[in-house]
Amino acid sequence: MLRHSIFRSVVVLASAAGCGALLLAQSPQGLDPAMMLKPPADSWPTYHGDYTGRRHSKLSQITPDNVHQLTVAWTFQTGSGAGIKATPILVNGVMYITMPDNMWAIDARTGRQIWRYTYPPNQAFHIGHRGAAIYKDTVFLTTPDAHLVALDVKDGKLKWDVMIADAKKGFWSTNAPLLIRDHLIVGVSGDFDNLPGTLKSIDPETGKTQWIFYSTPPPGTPDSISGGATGGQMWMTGTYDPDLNLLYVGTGNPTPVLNGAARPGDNKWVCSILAINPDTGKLAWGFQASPHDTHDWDAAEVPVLVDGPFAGAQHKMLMQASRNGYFFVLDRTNGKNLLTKPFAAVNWAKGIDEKGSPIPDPAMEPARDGRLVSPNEGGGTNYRSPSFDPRTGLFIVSAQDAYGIYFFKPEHGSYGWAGADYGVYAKGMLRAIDYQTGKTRWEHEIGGEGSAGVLTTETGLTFSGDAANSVFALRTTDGATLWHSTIGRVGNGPITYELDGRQYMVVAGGGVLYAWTLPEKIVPPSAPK
Amino acid sequence: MGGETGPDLTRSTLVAEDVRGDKIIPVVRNGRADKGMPPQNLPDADLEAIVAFIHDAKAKADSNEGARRTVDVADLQTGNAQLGQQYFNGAGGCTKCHSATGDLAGLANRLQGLQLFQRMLYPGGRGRGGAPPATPTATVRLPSGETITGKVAYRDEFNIAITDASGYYRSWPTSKVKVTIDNPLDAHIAQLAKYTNDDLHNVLAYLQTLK
Repeated sequence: MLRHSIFRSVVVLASAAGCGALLLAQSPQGLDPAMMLKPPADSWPTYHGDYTGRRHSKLSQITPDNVHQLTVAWTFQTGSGAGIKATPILVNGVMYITMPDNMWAIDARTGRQIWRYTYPPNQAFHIGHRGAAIYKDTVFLTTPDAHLVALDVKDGKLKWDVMIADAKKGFWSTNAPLLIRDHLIVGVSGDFDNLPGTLKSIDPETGKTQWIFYSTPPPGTPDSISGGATGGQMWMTGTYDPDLNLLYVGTGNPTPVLNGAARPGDNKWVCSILAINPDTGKLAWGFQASPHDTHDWDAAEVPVLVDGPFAGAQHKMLMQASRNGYFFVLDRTNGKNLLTKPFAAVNWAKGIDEKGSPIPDPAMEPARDGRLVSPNEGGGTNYRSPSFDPRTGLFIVSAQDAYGIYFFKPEHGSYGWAGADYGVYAKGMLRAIDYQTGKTRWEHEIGGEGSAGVLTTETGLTFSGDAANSVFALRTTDGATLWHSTIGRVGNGPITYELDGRQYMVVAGGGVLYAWTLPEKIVPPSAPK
Repeated sequence: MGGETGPDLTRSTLVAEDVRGDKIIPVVRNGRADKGMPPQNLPDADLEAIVAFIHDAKAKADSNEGARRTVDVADLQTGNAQLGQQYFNGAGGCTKCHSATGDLAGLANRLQGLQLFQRMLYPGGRGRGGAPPATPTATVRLPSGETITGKVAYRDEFNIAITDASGYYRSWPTSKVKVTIDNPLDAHIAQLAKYTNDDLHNVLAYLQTLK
């Protein structure tokens, strides 16, 4: 009887919701692009949560005093043995999580699957996936064979499918696209072939290409400034300043990867932080994090946007902990360097040039008999998203002190990898960098190579994960551990949101999503007499 | 790209040495707890399929023009063995733990080329083709004051586990005990920041004479 009455009331509510949707002539699940400028507390509408890339939340229910009470509200099993690397997005109570070839829409209150979309089988590179993007009633998935598919938020049905880049030439995509008004910015990857660095703006309504930006010139382009380098793929999700109307994106390593002799000079614009006009695709400015890279250290890491004081004056800044082991602070209006300091073990630079770029030491280029170089190929950090905490001025990043041996000989040629390299040793540390000095204020050991992103909250909490399968909360001021749970390999960035008055923190352990919240305060009905 | 999480199996020494799963299958079955890889309880047919897939991927990678390349033993012959011996006995501090006539006697017969180079820099991997890697020892002081010493079986921020003298696995939360770790590999880690490029190749040349 009881079950029956609940079922009936659900039916009534569902009808009412359907009616409302008709009256409003708008799906309750869609996203108005204007919302991206100030995402409400019950959402995480884009890869980084908002346009700044700070991954810092104002939510204040979970605090240093009560974080030890966190309890599992729900879990969601993808059923995949591969780990989740994506950050989920959340709009109107529905969460979208991705893995290569797959997207799931799940109820953010319960973890119940609403629908699942699976892309047709393909032989492309399945290295990982970063996440989804949403525009009105459409949610987007990039695919291993470098397509972009548009799905209906209501049922996951395919609306359209366009090719972003040619997988037969060696492109693939793991990218979580970035929505800027009516531009969907989509990046690709490709390191085993000499391919031009390609970023596309796609019309989210139709799938039509609006513009293409090349970080390295496509074949046949005269007057190349790349010195013959290809590559520089923009495979990570960028950030955006609506006031300056500039999209910021990091570019990947050059190809040929380890053969520097084949591409003399700085190789612009690989391993760089670029500012691009999102309406035209034109470059506004560029800053090169690694001139003439020969170690696979792309600067694709998140360009985090912060407004605040630097050396006594107010600045619109951009901060990046780059894969080459250096932390950069730039003036994001013009790309001028404010600070360059190492945040991890480095031995490859002779100094810093007048523009703030490290000067590569030719003695550390890959050689026939091997060079012992720090960091290793994985870098001082990698795709793992950092977080900026405005209250402490700390930039918190999953770092590693690492060594690798790098080889190149002319017989390796000048196509694709064009060399060999091997990791020797790595030690993972969560490091909290004071952005005004570049000095590490505290560090927290996380074991071997880290894999987790970072989230900070206004109450002074830092959430991340270690290499030993634990998610943890640290006190942001000093890195002391306040809570942990061993849930499996934490391979993505934690997110937080508030629904029905409860703050949730969602993170992946292996192929499972875990939603954490404070215990529910349930007042039981009075016991029958 | 690359270096994101797991190792590239198409370049793995273990995969290169594998014959129809004799090396791969034990790793898949037992996992590698220290590297976060869980054991997989899979039927034989699935294990064979995994082995075939890995070898197939390796064959494809090896034939791909743009794929990662390899290192030959001949590439690594640039050092001076005599200077390497001096470094080994002197500035390198190698003799604190090693002896050319003891643990390293005949080393060059067991390991060559890149493998020897990698093991020289950091012998933290599995003990393929040579002596097993040194495992850290932990001394655990219990609240009662009792101390137990054993090889570290597992260690993270929150837990410590050892294999005790009788071969039993024992674990404790790190918050309840006092742990002292003696890691013989610490010297190798510290040396990574100290080597000059010449030191590296000289020591390698010297080790190649230990036959």
